[in-house]
Amino acid sequence: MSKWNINVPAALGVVKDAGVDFDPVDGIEKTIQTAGSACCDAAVDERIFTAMNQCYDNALRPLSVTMVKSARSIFSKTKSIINTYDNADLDMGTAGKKAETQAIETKVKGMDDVPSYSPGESTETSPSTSLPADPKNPDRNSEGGYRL
Amino acid sequence: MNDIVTFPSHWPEKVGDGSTLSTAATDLAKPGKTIRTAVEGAGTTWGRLEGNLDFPDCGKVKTAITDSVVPYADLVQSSISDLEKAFGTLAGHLETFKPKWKDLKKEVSTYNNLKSQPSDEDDREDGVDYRTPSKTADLQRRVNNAADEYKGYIDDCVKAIDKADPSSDPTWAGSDANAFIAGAKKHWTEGRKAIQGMAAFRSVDGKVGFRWSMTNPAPKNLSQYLNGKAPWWMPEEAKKRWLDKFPEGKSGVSYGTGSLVDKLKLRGVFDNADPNMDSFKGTIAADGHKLSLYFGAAGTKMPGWADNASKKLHAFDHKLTKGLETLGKNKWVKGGGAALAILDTVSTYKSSYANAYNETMREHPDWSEDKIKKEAVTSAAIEGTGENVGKVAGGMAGRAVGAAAGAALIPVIGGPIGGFVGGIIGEKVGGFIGKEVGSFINDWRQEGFGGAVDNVKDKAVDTVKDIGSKLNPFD
Repeated sequence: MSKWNINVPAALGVVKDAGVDFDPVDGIEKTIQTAGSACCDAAVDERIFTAMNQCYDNALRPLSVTMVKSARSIFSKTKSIINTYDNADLDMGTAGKKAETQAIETKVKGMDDVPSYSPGESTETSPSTSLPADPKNPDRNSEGGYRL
Repeated sequence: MNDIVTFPSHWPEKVGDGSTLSTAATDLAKPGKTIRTAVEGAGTTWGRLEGNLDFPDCGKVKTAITDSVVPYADLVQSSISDLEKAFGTLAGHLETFKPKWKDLKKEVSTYNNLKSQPSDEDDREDGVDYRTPSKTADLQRRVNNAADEYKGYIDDCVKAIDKADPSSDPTWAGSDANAFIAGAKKHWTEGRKAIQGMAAFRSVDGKVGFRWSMTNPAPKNLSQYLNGKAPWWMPEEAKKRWLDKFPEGKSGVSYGTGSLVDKLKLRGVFDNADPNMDSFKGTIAADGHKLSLYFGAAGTKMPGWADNASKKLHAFDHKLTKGLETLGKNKWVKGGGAALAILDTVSTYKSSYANAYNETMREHPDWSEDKIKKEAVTSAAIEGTGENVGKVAGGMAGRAVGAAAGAALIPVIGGPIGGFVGGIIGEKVGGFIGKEVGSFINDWRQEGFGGAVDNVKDKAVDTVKDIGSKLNPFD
């Protein structure tokens, strides 16, 4: 068997299907935020909100955003690898395809790179249903409830 | 007069509704389930790349979801699970506290509106309820206690939220978000690597054994399968020698199916393996879509690299102490998820080893250090396996272990014993506590069946006893 053997339609199908599997977690950090805020509202106590706010800002949000971005990055890089292979025809691995081979190698090496993250970043692809923040008090939503 | 009841500074102005909080806590768990479903679905789909994508280093692409998405999913889910429990517990407390709080507020209001009792008895009117120092003191005490009680509930909940927050742990303190994320992933990955290595330790009286898992269908060519799956600590030269034992086209696999007893009797033999490896025997246990292969070199002279297995175990101990136990101190990890499963599993072996070492030393003070170590490794492999598999079967680690431990979880010692332990636990652990099964098997090995029965006494291992009466794999 050749060392380079990609079933392009099947492999692209895997990437597409995996993306569909992952669709429900788009914007999951907002879902967590809304659910966490509801817990704070029900618990009432300010100390609970402070602790939850820290947990969300420092862990839940960055980790969930990174999870989604990592998956998207993997899908994108894999798709790119498959397309590079597809465009390079059948001679992958030979001297004449060094550039394509290197391009793929680079993408493979970067497969487990940790994506960047900045506070407030969202993975949302559809409009949020959560209440917006009160412009005068970011810790509260427009109806006066807690907002992580 | 100053005999009115006052509310202390920590008396809550408002108290949350337990029922509403309980519902909110349940809703908070939903994103965790969404994550789990999505990641598992994507992981399963990603598995279809196998056979459709083949090029140098493509393994990194194929394991990308497991390596770079699952860790975060586990971390977030673990944290959410802890938060759900924290809020659920608080909700339960508020359910009972809120009515008491309301009643006390009303009682204080009513009480403080009473007239203060005149000091001169002659001035007191019959039938009038007065405030008195003793009544005030009693009500004040109850109000203070209630305030303390509420504060305790909130304090506990805040502590639980802090525990669910890895960023509040000293391990991560001071790190920025990106460093924290990278660190979290690194720990997860290191933990997984560690357990994979741990799964390969065994050194018993010149025997050595390993356990690999393979996906359906079982490969017919072991050489191809084993390549790249040898324990991480095995020297390259040894790996090559090992693989050479299974030349392509000769290393076929056969295995038995059916009941546990049948499986043990029909212990799979590598029929077509290299003639020099005739003594290699093993078992294969079917488990859903996964086949687990256990085998060992029974009666075979242990190769040089394996001769150091005990030392490697000690080196691993050291690594545990320096690395994984740091993870163990991370309170947040204890909530669940892959990291917990890894730590818990590895720690079990470590603990089993330490216990077995001490016990052997007490019972056999005349034994050499090397012999005691070997015995400890044997016992740890059996008892640790029993305990770990019990945890998996009991759902305490469950899926997380499967995802995290990947190709290697259950260590095996010599072929017959390893096959027996793996088989009996895999088949029968559901109704038992795995640790007890593992202990029983080890007692059986050390003291014979009668001794083992004496030792278990009233433990719930009747089925194991029943099997033991029919079959002794140690003969």
